[in-house]
Amino acid sequence: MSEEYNIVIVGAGPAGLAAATTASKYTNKILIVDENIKPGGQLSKQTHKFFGSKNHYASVRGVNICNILLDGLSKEKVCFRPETSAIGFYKPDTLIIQDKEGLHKIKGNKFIFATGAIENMVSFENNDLPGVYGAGAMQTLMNLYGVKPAEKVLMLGAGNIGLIVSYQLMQAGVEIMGVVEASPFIGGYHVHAAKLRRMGVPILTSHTVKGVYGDGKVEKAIIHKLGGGFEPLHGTEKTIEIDTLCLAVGLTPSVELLHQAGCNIKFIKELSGYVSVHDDMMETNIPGVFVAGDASGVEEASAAMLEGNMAGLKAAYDIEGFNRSVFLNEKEIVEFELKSLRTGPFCERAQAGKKRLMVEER
Amino acid sequence: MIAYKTTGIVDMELVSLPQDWEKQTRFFPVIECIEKIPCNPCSFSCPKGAISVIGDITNIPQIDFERCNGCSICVGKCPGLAIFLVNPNFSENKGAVILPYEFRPLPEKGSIVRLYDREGKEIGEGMIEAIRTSKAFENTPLVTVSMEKDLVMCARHIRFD
Repeated sequence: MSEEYNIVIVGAGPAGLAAATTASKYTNKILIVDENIKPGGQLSKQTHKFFGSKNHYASVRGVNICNILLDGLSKEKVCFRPETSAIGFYKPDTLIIQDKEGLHKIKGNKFIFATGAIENMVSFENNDLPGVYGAGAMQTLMNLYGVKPAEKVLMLGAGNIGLIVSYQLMQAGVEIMGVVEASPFIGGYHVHAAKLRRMGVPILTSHTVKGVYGDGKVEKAIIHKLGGGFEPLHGTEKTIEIDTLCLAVGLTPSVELLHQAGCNIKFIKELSGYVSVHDDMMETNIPGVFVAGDASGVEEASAAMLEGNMAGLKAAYDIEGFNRSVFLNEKEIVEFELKSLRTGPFCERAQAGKKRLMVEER
Repeated sequence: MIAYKTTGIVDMELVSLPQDWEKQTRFFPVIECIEKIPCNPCSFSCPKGAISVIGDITNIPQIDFERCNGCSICVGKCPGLAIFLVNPNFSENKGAVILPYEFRPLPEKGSIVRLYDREGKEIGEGMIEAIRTSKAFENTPLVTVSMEKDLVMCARHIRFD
């Protein structure tokens, strides 16, 4: 016999937990499945203070936001299944999950896919040599497992992730030999770059990694300068001795489940890849199937949480049909906060992407 | 394009300072936050209402130096670790800077530390006058370090053996 829930949420990261938080105010029988041992997704690895609005956990460290969200969930209403993968969705109401015991059928009224994103790889010589890591893996090792993951690191990518993870590595006692960025400009916030610069870390814009070399493991990297058309400039090669090259070269939304479910998937470059088309309340073209967070376009965790709030609100409203003015009022608040978060030059891309997505939807 | 986007070093002409800042005899905030990013906790953190982010959350914080009493809460709250308190005349012949320091071990009070500028260049020595940790600072330790008066607008990081 299969278990039955009002709302099934896939992914216990910021979007999934926020969806459960809002939904559980109005309904019960909510299930969250997540493949990790502990809930929190990327939040639990974030030891730095978050940006954003005071109303939305700004200044609080990511790991503490995770604890605040978890503490706020009522155990009577929300059930969490860790180490569980969602492996298939069958219209209209069936999710197949897999845990240590095997496969299970889960029935749900509404589904929220908060499946996040995966790190991008980049091609260079010997990129499969041991010692080439994703920034997320480095964070997991040091911030979740308490392991110092390297001694001397070169970071590839000067977006916020590359800058923040470099800083966290330095806090763990790792030496950062430099941050290399192919674009002529630092992509992340200036304040993150400034923290590294005052600790003596060089940030080399218009540079990239030619390759990593070593006997069975990374022992050095060769970097070179790039021209205006991103072409390598000969004679600019420099060798840097390292034991680890860390990659922070962007994320790609994880939409496999949504795709398999039959959601309308579009490639929107501003949202970092293929994303599921959704309406202003995060519902996809399949009624009752929602998306939230990076799976609907890569943005910051604060945006993911608001999208989760929105999806959770609409899913709960469709089930319970509670007071309409309460619903509209809460919707308006989330909309307002999302809009204000997406102002400014750093959010232009995501903003444009979301706009394109809405046009495609129509 | 503005230089800091390639260097990571703040353009000081974009940072507001009190008039005749060299003559100040108390701590005032130097907010090295010059970019339109969605962030506003500094404005809520200030018990005196001296910092405001007006309108959009991406607007740059404005500071009213008259209202600031040097409590340092903003230094601890700023997620970008971009606020420093500076007192150019901490004593007769020394200035001082209060900076966020999120590393272990913490320096000891009274100890001598090396000072670094925004590019990570060593620029001199300073003495630790105080170390404060508090939940009000989001557990970011705040270090007060005294130094030659002409270094207070340059020293932004410390190291010690």
